[in-house]
Amino acid sequence: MLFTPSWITDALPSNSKIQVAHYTRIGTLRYFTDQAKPGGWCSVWATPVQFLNDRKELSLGLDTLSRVANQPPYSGHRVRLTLDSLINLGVEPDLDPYQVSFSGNVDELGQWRGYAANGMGCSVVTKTADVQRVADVAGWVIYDARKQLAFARKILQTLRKQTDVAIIEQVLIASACFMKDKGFEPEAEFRLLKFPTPGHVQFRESGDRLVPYIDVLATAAPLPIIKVIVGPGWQLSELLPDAFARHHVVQGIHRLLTARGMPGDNIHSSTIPYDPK
Amino acid sequence: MPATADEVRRIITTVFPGSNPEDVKDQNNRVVGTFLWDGFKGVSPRDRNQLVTEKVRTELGPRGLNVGYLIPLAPGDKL
Repeated sequence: MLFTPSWITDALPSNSKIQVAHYTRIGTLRYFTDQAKPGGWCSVWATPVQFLNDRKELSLGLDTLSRVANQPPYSGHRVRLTLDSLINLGVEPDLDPYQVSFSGNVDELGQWRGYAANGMGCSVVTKTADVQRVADVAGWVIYDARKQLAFARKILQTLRKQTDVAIIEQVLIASACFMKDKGFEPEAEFRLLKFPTPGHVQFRESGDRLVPYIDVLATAAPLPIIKVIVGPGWQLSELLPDAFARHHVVQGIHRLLTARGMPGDNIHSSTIPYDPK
Repeated sequence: MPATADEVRRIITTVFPGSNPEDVKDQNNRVVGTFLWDGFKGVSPRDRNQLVTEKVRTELGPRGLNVGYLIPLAPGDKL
């Protein structure tokens, strides 16, 4: 990474939530844990932002930065030219940020439906501070248009006098990653960014295309798994504790966690009465 | 064969006569950099980038996939 993380994190809004969740399919838990690295969450894949589901994601942030940069007090030519180039030509692969999404809302219907097998998946809860530990930059996404403008002003102020275009480009892209459309606000996203060296990038198939990714935890200490919440689609919230513990879905997760050296008693049910069937 | 920095610099000096593309270089298999040209004075960032696309990237065609940012500066540009 070419810049100091605080250039961005100091400009982001604060949030007191100490736990964040990652929504996923239950089957994916197998890949989060590894017998060879017991005791925590030891593998999480990060993907470049332009491969995500919000097609306007990066452009919204870049447009906001560009709007501020082209108003008095104008940003320097290098910044304005770089922004225009990013908007029209895209991101340099070498400077691309790879991201993982977490949420401050650990039990939220939209994310159950969108990211966790329509409510049949799970959310894996970890500590916000640990996500920050393994990230190059991590922070809360901004959805409010006025706050986005204020954030953009701070970032562009930081870039004044900066002459290295690679640094300018990387800061602008990373900043743009923290601005999203208001329609995504219920996600309360806490976003992890990593800037890999090209040699560390791997590729997977997804939706008939190739998607680059990196394993953020390949060389980092594992993230703690505070709890696993089973999605509302399984309708487990009204089971008595004993019946819940014996349920086959809960048993599967319990056995995986204990086999990987983690306590198996931190499994909960979503409290949302959502039935996808 | 992807475009080389030499080739990109040569095209820049041809299509923007009198420009100075010394800073355009190979970096991690990408050709990137900034260059100066008097003719960009008073031209908006968008129009400058448009000119670079039309005159440099179009000239290279698919071989220019490895050409990254080419920032077109003018003497006296504000930092």
